[in-house]
Amino acid sequence: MRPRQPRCCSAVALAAVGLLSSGCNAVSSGSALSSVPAPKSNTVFLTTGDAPRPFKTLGFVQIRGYGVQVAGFADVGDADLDKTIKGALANEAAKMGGQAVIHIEFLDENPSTDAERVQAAMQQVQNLAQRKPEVEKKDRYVTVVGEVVQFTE
Amino acid sequence: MASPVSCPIAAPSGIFAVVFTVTVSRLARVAAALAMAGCSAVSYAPIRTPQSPQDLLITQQSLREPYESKGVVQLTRKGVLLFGFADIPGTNLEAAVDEIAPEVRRRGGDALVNVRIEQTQYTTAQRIFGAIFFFVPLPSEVTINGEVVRRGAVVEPAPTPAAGGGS
Repeated sequence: MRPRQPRCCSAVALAAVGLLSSGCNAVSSGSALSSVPAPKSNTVFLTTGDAPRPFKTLGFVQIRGYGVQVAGFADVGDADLDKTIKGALANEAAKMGGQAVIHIEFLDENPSTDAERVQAAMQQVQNLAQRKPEVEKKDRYVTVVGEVVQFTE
Repeated sequence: MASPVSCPIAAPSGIFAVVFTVTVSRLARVAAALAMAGCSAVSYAPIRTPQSPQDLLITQQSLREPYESKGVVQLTRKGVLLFGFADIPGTNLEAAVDEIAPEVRRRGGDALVNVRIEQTQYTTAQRIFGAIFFFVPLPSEVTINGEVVRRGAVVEPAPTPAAGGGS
């Protein structure tokens, strides 16, 4: 007589197929950049589009923010859209004497989906339960690049 | 005397045999190159043209009209291609555009401008390998990002009156 396969195996296989085939979204976002027309201020004008006024280009800047995600949920470091665009990129533009950064392109290189975060958190709990001195961490990178300009009018 | 091996096509001999062999091997190489390199991967995402100012605008260009920035947003969809072809999770351009639309609305925007989009693509040859080695699913990912804006002039908040400034 043919031995019966345990039901748990088929359930695990089904779950694996389900997990593999289920799409997971990861959303990264940052706060508002400059609006058009720009209100008068001394801050660096930041946009993903064109300059609102005539300008001369001073150069290009690329920033790669590095951070670490600990246990799936705690994000430490500079891998953040706001920190890289409104922080490092704007600061570098100001150092170059720029009044604006235009044509900003950004990429969160390896965002975690909710499923990945939960999986990392569960692994961390398992490590703690087994008294393993390991911390679940993932390197995170956010890259931004932009054109630093000075308005001529 | 009859040939020990029967063949429907008579094999050429002498100089013709050399020419025949060279031609066949070249043809085989060209066919292999075409099979491997001639398989472009094509993806597309249809975008509905906005019919009214309330409709969501998604474009790779900048706006040439006044707008209020609502922030930047990126959406990444991850999954695998089963059997090399089955994109069940929907890691394609159309899914990315469909998924980011509610994010734009949630942030109070009515347009996503300066959009950049990137998708993992496999050629037909790679997908066939994926189907043969089905137990190793092909990882697939699509990323879309851009700036969320609200079209129209920026309304600056009116200055608040001083506290206790009269009735």
